[in-house]
Amino acid sequence: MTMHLSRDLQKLHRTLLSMSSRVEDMIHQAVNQLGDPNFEEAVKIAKLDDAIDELDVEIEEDCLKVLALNQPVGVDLRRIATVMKISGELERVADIAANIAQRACGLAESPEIPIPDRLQEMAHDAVDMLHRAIDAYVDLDSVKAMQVCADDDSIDDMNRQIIEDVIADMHRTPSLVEPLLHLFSASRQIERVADHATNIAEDVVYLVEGTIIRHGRHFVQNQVERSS
Amino acid sequence: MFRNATFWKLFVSSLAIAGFAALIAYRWDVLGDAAALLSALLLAAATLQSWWMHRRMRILLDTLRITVASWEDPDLIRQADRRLPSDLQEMLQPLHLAGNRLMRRVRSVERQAERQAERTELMHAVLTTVAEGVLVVDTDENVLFVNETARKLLDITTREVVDRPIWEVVRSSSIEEAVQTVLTSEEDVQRDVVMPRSKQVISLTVTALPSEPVPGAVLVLRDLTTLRKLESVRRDFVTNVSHELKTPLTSIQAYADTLLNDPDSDPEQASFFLSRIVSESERLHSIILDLIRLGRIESQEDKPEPRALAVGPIVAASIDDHGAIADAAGIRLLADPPQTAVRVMAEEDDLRTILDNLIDNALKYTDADGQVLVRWFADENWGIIEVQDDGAGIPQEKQLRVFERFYRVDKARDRERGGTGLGLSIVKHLCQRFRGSVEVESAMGEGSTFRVRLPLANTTLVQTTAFPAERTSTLSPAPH
Repeated sequence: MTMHLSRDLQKLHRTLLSMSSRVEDMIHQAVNQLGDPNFEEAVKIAKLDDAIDELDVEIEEDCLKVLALNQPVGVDLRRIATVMKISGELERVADIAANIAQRACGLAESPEIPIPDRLQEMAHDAVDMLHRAIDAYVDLDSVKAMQVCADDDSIDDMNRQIIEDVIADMHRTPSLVEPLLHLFSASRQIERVADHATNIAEDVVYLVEGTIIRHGRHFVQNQVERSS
Repeated sequence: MFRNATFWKLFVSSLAIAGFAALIAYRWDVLGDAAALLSALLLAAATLQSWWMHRRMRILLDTLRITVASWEDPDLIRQADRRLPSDLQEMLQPLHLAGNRLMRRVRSVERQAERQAERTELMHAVLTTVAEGVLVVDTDENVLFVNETARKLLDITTREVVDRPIWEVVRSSSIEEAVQTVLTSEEDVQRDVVMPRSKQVISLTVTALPSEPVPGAVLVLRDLTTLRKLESVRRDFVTNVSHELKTPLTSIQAYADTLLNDPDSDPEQASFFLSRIVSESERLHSIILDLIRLGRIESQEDKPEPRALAVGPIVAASIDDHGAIADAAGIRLLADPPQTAVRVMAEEDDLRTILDNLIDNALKYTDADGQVLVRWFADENWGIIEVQDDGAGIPQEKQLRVFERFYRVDKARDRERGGTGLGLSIVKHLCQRFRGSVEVESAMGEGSTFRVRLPLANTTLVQTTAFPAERTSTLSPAPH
């Protein structure tokens, strides 16, 4: 590896990690809004999102520059591809954070709907998944990454239950459809945070092992069907 | 001996000298017939000389080898030295002196290194056990040292941390920024950081290591979570106490003003106003009484004098007293006594207060046709008293706070139900006074269970249950 390449990769790594810590801060703040909504905070979170967008563009440009100038191969190429993809995922998580904060404020306008404990729990789990996915990236630990992927199912279950409850509530009290829609949307957004965490974890598996496990179940099923 | 090159060299040179001498003798016929004999003698002498020289050299070299190889063992050197002839011993003297000097030097360096290692170990132990979190980074922001507290506070899960960049290990934007500021500007940074995951408040001080250019920075972390919580509890208390005292006072003032301004008002209305004034001042009175009581428990003016108390009769008395209120509200107030009597270490008045407050509370938050159940039993070293209601329940995040003074789960509605907002706080402090505890278990819509834990009295002293017979039947409504 040339000096230039190694220095550029180090810089990319650093920018990505500082982006990840900022996004994690944002999503934590957004989730806290669910318990304690605050309109000003929500505006602040939305503003933070702009800085994340800039970082995303910066990382992508740097990645393309490294690719063009050094034409890396093997693990370096995988690293750059992974950094590019993780930065995209983080950018979307930041968008979701801004969105969740807005939903929380929307919910605050109708205090007759309490935030279900399950939603808080789900938010906590999803944010924890994101943290562990980044941990796996830092430690290049594909086992940890696989665990994150496996945890996604329980988040999906929780989301389904919450949405069922919300729909039942809508039938019961149609007058509260608007705040219930906020709740519905918040739950969906949190579920998407877990999805992005899973994507990051899958990128980490690719970085470490060189295999793409995304859509793994589909592929395996299709292959089985084709061979039979 | 014969395989040794030195020996042969010596031998050949001695032989050459001997041969030369023999040749001269023969040439000039100095000795005549004795020449042959002389040659033989010279030959023998040459052999002996070579052997002797070789031996001397061998011993000398051996001694040198031992002196150099085992310079740390003076006994061995002395032993080897003794085998040398005295003239050779003198030759080796300077070497021995130099060796001794070297040995002393090495010993002192070793001792110093040992002391240094001890000191480093001590420093390490101090930094590891100190209550503050300590983390040291070099100029490239690589971690040089981190202690256990810092690991816990910063939520560092990876085992290998040393020599890795801090932004990779800690991943907190505010900490990263603080470290960068210190390393570039050399100005110390002091700020409070909230860890997003653990919600802990950490006071962070980043200081540049002394000397030029900056060789790194030290991060000192202190957990402020408890302190901050205490501060907020105190702040809340002041706000709450003023609010709680102001509300009844405002009503009293308003009613009194109305009566003053309109002396000829309808006597029925006047008597209504007066009754409101009385009830509001009663409320004020009970708040102040509770505050005084809480203050006394907290300051622990009187030392607790716990004695073995049977729980049964005290529960019975408390249930008796609350019977009328429960009947009026249409709530079933039940007792579920244990098989064997339970005796706890407490004071009678205080245990009664605990029970009164818990039952009072349960009755307040249970709707008509609900049920309040008091249960008590022994569990290992603890006497446990549970008061269970099937009211609205308390949301998860508020369960820990209900024991705070004036904390109300539902700010708007709770005051309507009466009560001073101090009952559970008093219960908590009384339990702690007897080294016990109180906790709440609750689910929304399913009611709450308050569980008091008090130390069990010595079980060998337990007498038969003193709980009145007519209430011992499980789950039967308490007769009022």
